[in-house]
Amino acid sequence: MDNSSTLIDLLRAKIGSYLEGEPSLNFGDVVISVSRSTLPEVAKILSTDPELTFDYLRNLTAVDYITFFEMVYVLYSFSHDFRLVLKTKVSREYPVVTTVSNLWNSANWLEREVYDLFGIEFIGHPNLTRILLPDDWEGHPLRKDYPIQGPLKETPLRWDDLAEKYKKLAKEAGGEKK
Amino acid sequence: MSPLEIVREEETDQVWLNMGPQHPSTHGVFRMLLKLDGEVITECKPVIGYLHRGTEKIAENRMYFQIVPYTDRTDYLAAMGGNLGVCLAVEKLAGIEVPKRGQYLRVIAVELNRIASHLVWLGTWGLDLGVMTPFLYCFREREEILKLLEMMSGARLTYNYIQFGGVRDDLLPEFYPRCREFLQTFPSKLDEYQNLLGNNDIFQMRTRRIGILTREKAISYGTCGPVLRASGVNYDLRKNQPYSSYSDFDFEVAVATEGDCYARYRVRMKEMHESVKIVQQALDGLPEGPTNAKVPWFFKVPKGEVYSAIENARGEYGIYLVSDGTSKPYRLKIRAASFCNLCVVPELVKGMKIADCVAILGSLDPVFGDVDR
Repeated sequence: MDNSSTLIDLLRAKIGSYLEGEPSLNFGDVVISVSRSTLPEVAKILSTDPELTFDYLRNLTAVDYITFFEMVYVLYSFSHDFRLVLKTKVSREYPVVTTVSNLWNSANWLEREVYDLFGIEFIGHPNLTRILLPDDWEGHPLRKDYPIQGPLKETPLRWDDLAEKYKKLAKEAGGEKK
Repeated sequence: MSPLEIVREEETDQVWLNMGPQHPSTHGVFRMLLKLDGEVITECKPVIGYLHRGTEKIAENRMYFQIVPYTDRTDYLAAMGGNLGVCLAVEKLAGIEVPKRGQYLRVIAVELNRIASHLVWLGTWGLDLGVMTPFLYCFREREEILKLLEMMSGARLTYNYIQFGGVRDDLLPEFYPRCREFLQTFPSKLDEYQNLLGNNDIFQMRTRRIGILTREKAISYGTCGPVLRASGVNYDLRKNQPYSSYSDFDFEVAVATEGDCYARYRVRMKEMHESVKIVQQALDGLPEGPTNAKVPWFFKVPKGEVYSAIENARGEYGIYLVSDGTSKPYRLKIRAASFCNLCVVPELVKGMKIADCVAILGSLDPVFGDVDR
């Protein structure tokens, strides 16, 4: 059943003033974008308004567009069978968003994952720590400027260098035989 | 001061117990820090990430056809679902139409794999609860499914069978009689498990009214698949957003309302029955024609983005794909079912005993390749 036009009309009426650009359709999902500062209010309306009741957060992720990040929330409403994609832009210099884990419990771990892999911080998150990588990991791997081979701490060891090094050490110790 | 008050003043020490990451009942590498008051759990801190391989980062640096084998390794017990998930997302964005026979073959592969995956869950969960026998029975039947899947794809666990535009090979002629024989005998085997395990008093005492997940909490925690349906939510992507010709088949969505471990057991058992029905219908109605649309090895996907999800054995396997118009994805996010099911563990085990914690964790059926990706 296609009810996307009903949803678009509802969204225009309820949160029309917050929207940036027109709601669009993408493969059956309604896509809207809001600014970062209005995200908490919009999320609250979406989850609590009885005509919308988006109670199920299916997916939460971020995309690195090099000049900025984009947060993507995929929402579903069980009572009305609405599908919605909510987007917001986050600047690279100040990567901070307000948490939505108070509205949807599933956001707790998903936001930790985004924090871990993208380095976006969530204000008001109950336990913002790394989730997939070790706590002492440096950098955020899913950023586009993260080297694919991982952070290089020292130049890789080569056999020739190693042989040279030990030859030198032996010479210094005076133990080299002619 | 009466003796009763003196006792109340004394506080018991709470101890932290480390469970895992190499504990047999954690089904992989999962660590739980349990705060115990006697034998009762007062707090639980799950630690994951031991199997993180950076699949999403790898995918950004690979051609599309090279990504499919990596999805085998996410949910390795239901690898066909992983293949199908990523293929559907790319096909949606690239506008590739899959021929009807290809779609039916995909359904057969995924549903057989779903049964195999649920059988592993049933056997290992039985082991966790101290029942050895069903494990051997489950693996006997799973072996037959793996042989069928091997006939289809040539592999037993990581198939790489479903590819863009269809499936890799058509069925062998020997497949049909063997599969039909399996479908005929399997429902009676399920009744056997029910007698062995489901009707067992001890099993029921260890699972009924244990780990109750209410409907509201199940939705709010983003649980999916059998865990969500066992809490009374009738939500199955095969019905709600049909893909790959699922609307052609007649099957019921298994739903239970109790939300406890036994409800999750019942839902998965019913799902196996329904999967048999789906495979039967797909075999009967298998259309003639090509199995594949003509898709070259190297192809470019037009600029755009899509969120596409399928109902895998553990729940919603979603792919969020962003393409910048090249032959590699710009961003590929895997929404793993086990990850979202596992985040409810601290909520469920609070106030339970350690032995119940094992039963609860097993009933959620996490696969850690899927959790950590």
